[in-house]
Amino acid sequence: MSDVELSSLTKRFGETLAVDDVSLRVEEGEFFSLLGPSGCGKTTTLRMIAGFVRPNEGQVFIGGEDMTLLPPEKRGIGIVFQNYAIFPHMTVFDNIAFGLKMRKVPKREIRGRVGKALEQVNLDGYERRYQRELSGGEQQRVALARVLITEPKILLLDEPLSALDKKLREEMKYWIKGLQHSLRITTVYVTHDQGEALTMSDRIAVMNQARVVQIGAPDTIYEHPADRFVTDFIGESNILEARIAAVGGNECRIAVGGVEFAVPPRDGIEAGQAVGFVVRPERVLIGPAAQAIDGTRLTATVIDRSYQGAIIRYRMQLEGQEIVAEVPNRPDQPDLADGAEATIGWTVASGELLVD
Amino acid sequence: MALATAQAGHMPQLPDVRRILADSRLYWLVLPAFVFFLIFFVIPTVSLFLISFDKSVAGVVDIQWDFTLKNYIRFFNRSLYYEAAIRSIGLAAIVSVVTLALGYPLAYFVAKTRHPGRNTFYMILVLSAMQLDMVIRLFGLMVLMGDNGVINGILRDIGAIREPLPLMYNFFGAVVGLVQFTLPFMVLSLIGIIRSIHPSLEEAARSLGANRWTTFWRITFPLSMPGILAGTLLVFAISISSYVVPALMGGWKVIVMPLHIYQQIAEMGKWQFGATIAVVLFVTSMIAVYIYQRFAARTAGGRA
Ligand SMILES: Nc1ncnc2c1ncn2[C@@H]1O[C@H](COP(=O)(O)OP(=O)(O)OP(=O)(O)O)[C@@H](O)[C@H]1O
Ligand SMILES: [Mg+2]
Repeated sequence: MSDVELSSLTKRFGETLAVDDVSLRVEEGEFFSLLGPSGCGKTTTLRMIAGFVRPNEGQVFIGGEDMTLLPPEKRGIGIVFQNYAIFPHMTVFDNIAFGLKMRKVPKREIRGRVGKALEQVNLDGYERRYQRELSGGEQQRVALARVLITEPKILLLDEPLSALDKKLREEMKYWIKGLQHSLRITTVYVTHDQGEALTMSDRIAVMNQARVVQIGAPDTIYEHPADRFVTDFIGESNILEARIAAVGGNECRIAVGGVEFAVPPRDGIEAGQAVGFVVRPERVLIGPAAQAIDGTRLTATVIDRSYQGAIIRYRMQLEGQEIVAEVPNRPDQPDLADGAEATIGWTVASGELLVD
Repeated sequence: MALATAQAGHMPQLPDVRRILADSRLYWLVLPAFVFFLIFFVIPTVSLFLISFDKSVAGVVDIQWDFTLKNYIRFFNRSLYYEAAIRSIGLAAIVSVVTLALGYPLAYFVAKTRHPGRNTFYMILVLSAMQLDMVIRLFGLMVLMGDNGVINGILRDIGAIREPLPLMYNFFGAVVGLVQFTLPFMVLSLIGIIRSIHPSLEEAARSLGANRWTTFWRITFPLSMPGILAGTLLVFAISISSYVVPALMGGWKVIVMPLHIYQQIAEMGKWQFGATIAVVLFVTSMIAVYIYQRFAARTAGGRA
């Protein structure tokens, strides 16, 4: 059992509330991300799991054991820092062997295991190099090998990709995920990059202003954001101001300006209430595609067309509000000029209500 | 003079300096320092070397161009002198070690104080120790450590001792005086380097299973080696060349080389032999510094 459970964790730094009443549970073998904007308390949360920061309130359980008061070296965690923290006065070999030496593993065994660890991260032959002789990506892999060789119960990663260039970042994203998957190691991953969180995670906790605002699988978070903040933060979204026109049974209709259409119902709403209506740009269909589906169909005017290679992005006017549609750049899609009128539409399930 | 040997601690930066100098317009910036260095260091040092080989005539300061090795032969044939050399090195080495042992925890404490206000306060405290003139501070030490001083007075009053403890006018007194004087130099050399060690390095070690103590010895200490090197070399150089402290705190009983130099020149007017002792002092401390640096650089894992 090596799951992580945080119960009502709270941390204050003087006046600032860095983490506010955070409770969550990371299942064994799960890849769990803490996602949120800068300063929302992700790193502080991770550091409380690691034991570098002591919470003001709440507890940290690892594998069911209360670790709140244990020092970091007794928690069985491995952490990779944003700057990798390779010991600059040691060779790659000594860096990776460090954890084993601390555990008093015999020298002969250390040599074999370091060799294997280097192989695992594709760095054979790097034993005698120093930190200053490694690229950022290599340093990151050394940091990972150094942690994984100690077979930690929990792997903690704090923005491990943010110091890499874009191409390497893409590569490492899948590589880390693959490694985590093959080792089945419980992982908590901190990032402010929603793309990373969506591709890599089994589940994501979205944080804002020291609190967890939503926990769920990537598709749940993306398609059913809990509130305006999550909607805005994850991907691009259209949020239209609307009012509930009719609600009853399994049906709900809203009014946006002078038009009315059906949306998926949700609890705790009543007729006349002001709500937000969310639909992702890629779910907004145009022309024949909009005609072909069974769902909402409306008329909008193109304000601005921008060409983005694989997709065409239209900013459009709908009942006095702006709505963005992204359509694939394909011959079966209409090509609209500025000022053109077009039918737009989406399936009922593509829409989402925000109540706040 | 010996202070210049402390520059050895900054050797790794040399290539950078050379690159800056390569930009010829920047030559003008170093010109004043160069002229100053030439007039007030190079010329006196060179003439010192020359005088030390000159025929010994009391009262003559000028170079007589009558070169001989007699002064050096005399130095190395009289135990009075070569033992002073050994005593000088011993004193400077002990002071360096003691100052490091006292200064490191202090510097560590200041460096790890993240609170900006408190940090500034500690820095001011360290610097304030350097504000008073050394001689004045030494008189303060005498009030504290003399036979009828504060420490012996208290110990006598509480009945712990009958005879005063010999705290001053001996080797111990000289060590205390020099440590007191050099401690701020050590602390200032260390604070910057300890602060520059990224906390994540220590945290990484902790997460890999090292406790505080092991983390300190495996990570923090070796990474602060450049500061330790600079600090100890500075303290060594100041101590080995110090005249005032051994004179006042050692009460002319701890006869180190600067005291001999003073005696030869000021009391006997023997400039040539005084210069010989000075040259031996200079060369000795250069050699000691070189050996130390080679040794210390190795423990720093190819970094220092
Ligand atoms: N040691 C500290 N002392 C004082 N305040 C701190 C400390 N560490 C964090 N904070 C504050 O706590 C809040 C949360 O910081 P934290 O580092 O957890 O954010 P984060 O979500 O990791 O942000 P980022 O994406 O920028 O890394 C911030 O307002 C920060 O200023
Ligand atoms: Mg952070």
